[in-house]
Amino acid sequence: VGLLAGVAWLEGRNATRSQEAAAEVARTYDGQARLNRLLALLGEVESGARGYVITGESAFLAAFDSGVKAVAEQQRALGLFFRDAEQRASLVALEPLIAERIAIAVRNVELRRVAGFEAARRQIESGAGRAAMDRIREQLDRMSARQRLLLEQRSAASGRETAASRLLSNLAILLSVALLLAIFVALLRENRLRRRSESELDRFFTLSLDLLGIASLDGYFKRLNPEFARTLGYEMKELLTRPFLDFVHPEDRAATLAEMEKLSRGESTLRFENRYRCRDGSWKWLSWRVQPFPAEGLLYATARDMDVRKRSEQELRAANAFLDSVIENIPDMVFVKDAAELRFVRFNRAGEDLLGHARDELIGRNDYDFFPREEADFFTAKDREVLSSGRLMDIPEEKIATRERGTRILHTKKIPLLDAEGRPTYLLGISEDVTERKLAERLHLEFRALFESLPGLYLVLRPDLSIAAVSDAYLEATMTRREEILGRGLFEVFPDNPDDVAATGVSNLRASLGRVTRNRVADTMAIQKYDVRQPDGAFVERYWSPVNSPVLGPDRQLEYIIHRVEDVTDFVLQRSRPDAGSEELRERMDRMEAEIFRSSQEVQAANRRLELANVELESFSYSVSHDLRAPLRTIDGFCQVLLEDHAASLDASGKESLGRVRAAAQRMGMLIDDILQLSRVTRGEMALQVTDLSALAAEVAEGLRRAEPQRRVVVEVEPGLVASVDPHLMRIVFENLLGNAFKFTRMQPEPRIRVGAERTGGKVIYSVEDNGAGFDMAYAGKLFTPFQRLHSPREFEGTGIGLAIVERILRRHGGEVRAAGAIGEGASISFTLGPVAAGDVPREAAP
Amino acid sequence: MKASGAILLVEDNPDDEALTLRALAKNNIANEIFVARDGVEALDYLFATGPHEGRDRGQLPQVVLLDLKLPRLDGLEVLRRIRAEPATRLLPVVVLTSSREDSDLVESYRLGANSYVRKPVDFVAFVEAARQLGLYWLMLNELPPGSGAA
Repeated sequence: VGLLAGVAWLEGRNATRSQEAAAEVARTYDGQARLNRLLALLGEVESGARGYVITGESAFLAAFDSGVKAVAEQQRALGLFFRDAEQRASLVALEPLIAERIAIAVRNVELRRVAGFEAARRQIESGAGRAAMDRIREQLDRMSARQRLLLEQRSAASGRETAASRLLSNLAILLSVALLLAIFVALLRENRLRRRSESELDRFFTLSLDLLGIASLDGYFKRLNPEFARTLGYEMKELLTRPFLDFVHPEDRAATLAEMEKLSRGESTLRFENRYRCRDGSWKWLSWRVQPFPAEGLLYATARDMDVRKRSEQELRAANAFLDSVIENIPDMVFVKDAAELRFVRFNRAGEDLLGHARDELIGRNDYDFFPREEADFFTAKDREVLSSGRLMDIPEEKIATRERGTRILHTKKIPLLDAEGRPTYLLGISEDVTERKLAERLHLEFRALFESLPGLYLVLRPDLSIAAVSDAYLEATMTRREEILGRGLFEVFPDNPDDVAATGVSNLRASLGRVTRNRVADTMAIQKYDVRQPDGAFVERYWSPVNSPVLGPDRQLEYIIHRVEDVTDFVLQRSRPDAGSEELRERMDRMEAEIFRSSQEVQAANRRLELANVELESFSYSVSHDLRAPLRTIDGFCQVLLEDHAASLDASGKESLGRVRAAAQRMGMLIDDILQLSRVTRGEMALQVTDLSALAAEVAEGLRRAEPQRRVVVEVEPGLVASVDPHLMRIVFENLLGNAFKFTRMQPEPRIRVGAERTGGKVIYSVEDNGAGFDMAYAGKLFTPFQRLHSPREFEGTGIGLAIVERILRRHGGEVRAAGAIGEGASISFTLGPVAAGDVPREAAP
Repeated sequence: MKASGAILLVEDNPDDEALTLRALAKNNIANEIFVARDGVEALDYLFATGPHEGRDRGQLPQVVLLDLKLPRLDGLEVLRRIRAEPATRLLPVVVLTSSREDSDLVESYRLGANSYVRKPVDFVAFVEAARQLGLYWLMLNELPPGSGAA
């Protein structure tokens, strides 16, 4: 700019100078002209005077006078005009010359007027006038020459001046061009930068997830980013060619127009919300921020799809609620403390339950507000340690005082929660209440210790015969150590003596354990020779008396087997002792020992046979149940077929015969059923439980009454009869006894049945009495023998097995049964249940 | 599963078969009756395998009357396989047997038998039992949805 100003100033000065020079030249020319004019005026004066002299006419005098005046005028003007000192001096020298000439002319005119023409003519012819005129001319020529010299001088000065200034101005122009070029380059660069930043802006415009747009105040979008079109689902063209109000929900148009009005006044818009119609016809809530530029008539707008925000807010809320609910429902106490003051900021339900404080009481407080000082010190110290180490801490056991549940034992994990810079901001704690478990563990240990110090020799086996527990006494007797045998298989730990070819210890024990596993009842073994391996590997002779008992779970599954043994080696080997007494005594003991061993071995063998027999009996019963009844059904069924399909070809006697066949077949069917029941009641296990016998009897009686609804039988049951029995078997007892009573009172017009009990000498005698047909006491003993009947089938149906079944069942309960009665006077069956202890009743042989 | 309205009788004893068919006929149960003589044949019929390959598997009987004591594969095993197969899991199975053993009854129900009927020696009583069976399983009983009408 300085350069340009300099150039401009130079140019300006240049112009002024050349103008001045030109004016000076013009003036010089003017000076010349003025000199010429003076000469011409003098000529007019001369010719005016001559005209008068010649003609005497006064008109010439007037021209002469005005000429004189004009010359004077011109002279004065020249005096003002010339600035050059030489010219001024010339002008002063000119004045007397002009005055002389004019004076000559005046004289001539005067002469003419006074002396006439001839005088004047002479005067003129003297040539004075002409000589004066010549001198004037000379003077004027000198002045003109001076004037021309001045002009030359001035023109040359002006030319020099012009050349210098042209050079300067050329230089300035060159500089300016260079400067302009530099400016142009700078502009180009700036333009490129601006274009780049514009394209960057453009990319952001394209990239933005917000809706960006420029609209004009006339109601059209000028430009929109792709997200705008994408969000609403339109082609860009469609959005740009329609007034945007077209897309606004009709209900929102008024508000939108009002907002536009505000914008047109230059107010900007923040958080204006309206609905836009999408291509698919749905509506989207948009939240706007608009800045108007009224000068340009443009609105710059950003909008946000509220649904997206609302949805993400909802999702965030849902995610938070989910996490809250997870934390809330974790069954362990979860708490969060702030790292600075260790005050609780968060607590879950399990925590409230455990501490007995509502979360409102807990939040904002710290440990010292709730726990004894020592505890609080402990907790706080751990907290600080976790926060300073920045690592999780596992505290397997810590005590905590609770408001309602006393002191509890917790297993706590404390975890520092770090912020983005890795500084701990919170402490997260998770505490499981392990009080119960710890107590159980302690109890378990106590019981184990008790078990292990039992004086007997005990081994607890799992169903797979691995060793679960062992008593110290057992370890001592077998010369083993607990850690060596726990968890290992029984026979792996205690093998047969390989040097004793007759060793049966393992196979006998295995068989006994197998029986326990199968039958789930205790199995007492005979005395076994079962040698024990010493730690050095050698076997020592040992005799044992083992009992294996099952331990059943709630679903009667085998959980453990208790193997109890007595070491009877000393007893068996007594004879070898040197101080065992006399020879005779020793011999007798030898025999006794041999006897005991043999007989116990025999019992063992008998047991095994019995077991086999029982298995056979069961399969026999099964085939009886199925296979023997099938032919009976065929006999009965086809007799019925004959009776139905061939009745025409049968006479009465033939039909009767078929009826008898059928009756016999059916009777045999019943016999089979009853025999099976008889065998069943002596098989299987008894499950004793305290049973309301009165209720059981009443229930059975009710069933019998319903079977014969036309009969009116009075049944009296004494209330409150309770005993420990197998309810299933006892029901069979009452079914038979009450069934008989119902049956044998059929002929009785007022049948009565009574179920009662009498207590005598610590025993309870139960009885079922009726006032029915009764029986002859002479045969009372036969009543309980299977298939013995005191009545003909024609009088009373039946198989004669019912009372036999009753007798078996009562015997299994450890009781007895008796019958009393007389013909026509009713019968009374009385029974006891015996002192059956809780537990199993010894197995019986089959009948 | 579609019910054909047929009855599958699994029975090895020809006398019992004749009597059962008679008992059903006497109760006017006119459904088609297919008799399988052992457990293997019963399963072949139901699953359209072996000799019954090509039978429409989708056509299942409306009810199976199943004896327990059968040659080759016994009735309880047949029942177990019927219940193990999704196609026949809901098929009504009535155990119809001579057995009076409690263990059979318990085991049958445990394996998912719908009913358990002991064949009485008395044929008249058997006809009555068949009548009640027919009434329940063929007329009154609602089959599970999707099993089709009889």
